[in-house]
Amino acid sequence: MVAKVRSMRPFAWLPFTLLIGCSSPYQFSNEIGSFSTGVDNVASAYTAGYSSLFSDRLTYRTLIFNDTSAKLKLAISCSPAAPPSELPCEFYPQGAPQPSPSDPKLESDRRGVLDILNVLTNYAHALQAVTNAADRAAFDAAASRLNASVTALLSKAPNPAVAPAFSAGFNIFAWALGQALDQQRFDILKQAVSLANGPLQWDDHKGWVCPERSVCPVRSVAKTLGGQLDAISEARKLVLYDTVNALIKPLGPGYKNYTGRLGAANHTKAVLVQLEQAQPSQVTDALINAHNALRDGVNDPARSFSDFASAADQFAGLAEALKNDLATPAKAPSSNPGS
Amino acid sequence: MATTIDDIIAARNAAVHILDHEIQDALAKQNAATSEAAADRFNGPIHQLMAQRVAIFERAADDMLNSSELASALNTLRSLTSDMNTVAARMGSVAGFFKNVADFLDAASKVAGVLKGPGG
Repeated sequence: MVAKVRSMRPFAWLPFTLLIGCSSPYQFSNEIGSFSTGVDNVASAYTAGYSSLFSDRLTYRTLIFNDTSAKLKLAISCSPAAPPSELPCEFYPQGAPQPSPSDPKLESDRRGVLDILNVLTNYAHALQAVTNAADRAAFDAAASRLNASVTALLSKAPNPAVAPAFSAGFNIFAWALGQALDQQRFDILKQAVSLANGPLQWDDHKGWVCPERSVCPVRSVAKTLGGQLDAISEARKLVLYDTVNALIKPLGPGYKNYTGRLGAANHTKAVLVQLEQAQPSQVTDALINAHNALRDGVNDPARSFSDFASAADQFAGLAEALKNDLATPAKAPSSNPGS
Repeated sequence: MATTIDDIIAARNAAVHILDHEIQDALAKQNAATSEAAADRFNGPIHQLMAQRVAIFERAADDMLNSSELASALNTLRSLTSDMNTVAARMGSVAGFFKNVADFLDAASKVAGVLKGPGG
């Protein structure tokens, strides 16, 4: 038994070596969870905003058709026999040209934007994966069970006294292995976050800037998403502006559905004001700020991440508000008997 | 020199700034019109300016999406994501290995118990 215990001794130095400078990736877990939720909300803001834009356009078109009692035709593109095309299947006033896409650039960009969102959410989810403490708990449980199984089997061997010695040695081995895997996770977290962030510098006028000839991937992706969200938001604002004007235009003395129509105008105006206040670029700037704070946190020898915690919370809150703002569509009047 | 995303945003903001002034100016003139007919004449031009403003945002968004800076950024993030997932999976693999060995040993232990018999 003594010989066997001695044979375990080479493992004994390992944990103490690993203990020095070993870092836990799990301390960032909650804040990275907030960051990841924020990224998911930015993705939802895009899809909700895109759907709302088309819903707003439909509301506006329907309003105009109702107001003008237009004689309508169905677009050729709606026909089951029509060749596949990018032309929309919609009603259009008789005598007018066939409907064409309202926002061709936004529509043609959609696939590319979904790809960007996919890359960014996958990145955020990978950050969660390397900081997932449940994996370590599962590892500890599996190691503990293996130890118990070996010990139980050895206790039935011709020399059962070897079992406690093996158990002690295995515990040290499993502990050291767990620490080594934790260290690998922390190292890849630090490396990935630093490379994805790049050497951002704060400028009082421009915010976070990427020095010339440097690469700052998260900033590049966030700025591009901000541009797409701005474009959707601006397109919606114009449709909503036109809708409010069309809604209030006929209102006056003797108008039969004055209350209903004014209610719809008020609702649409409120959505417009909400969008005026929503700043997509502010949300994507908060994303950049939070990621930069994460970079600082993982590179701080003291592992201080209070700045990251507050930046991640701020980003998550702004992203959720943006998602809600972009998801609210315009509203048609409940009935429209005209004047 | 390749156009950066910052260049595109700066050009977009400059163009929008000019249009915003024109729109504000046209709206002020429309409000000052002495008759409804005179005010209505501004509707078309104002709407065109606003539509042009939206088109600038959409064009800039499209340019950013197709920039080489973005393509390079996406490639970097994809690669880093893959590296992190590979490392994250190692702990699960080791835990799975431990579990499989434990299952095997548990089965072996039962067999050993049977072979040993009630008398030991």
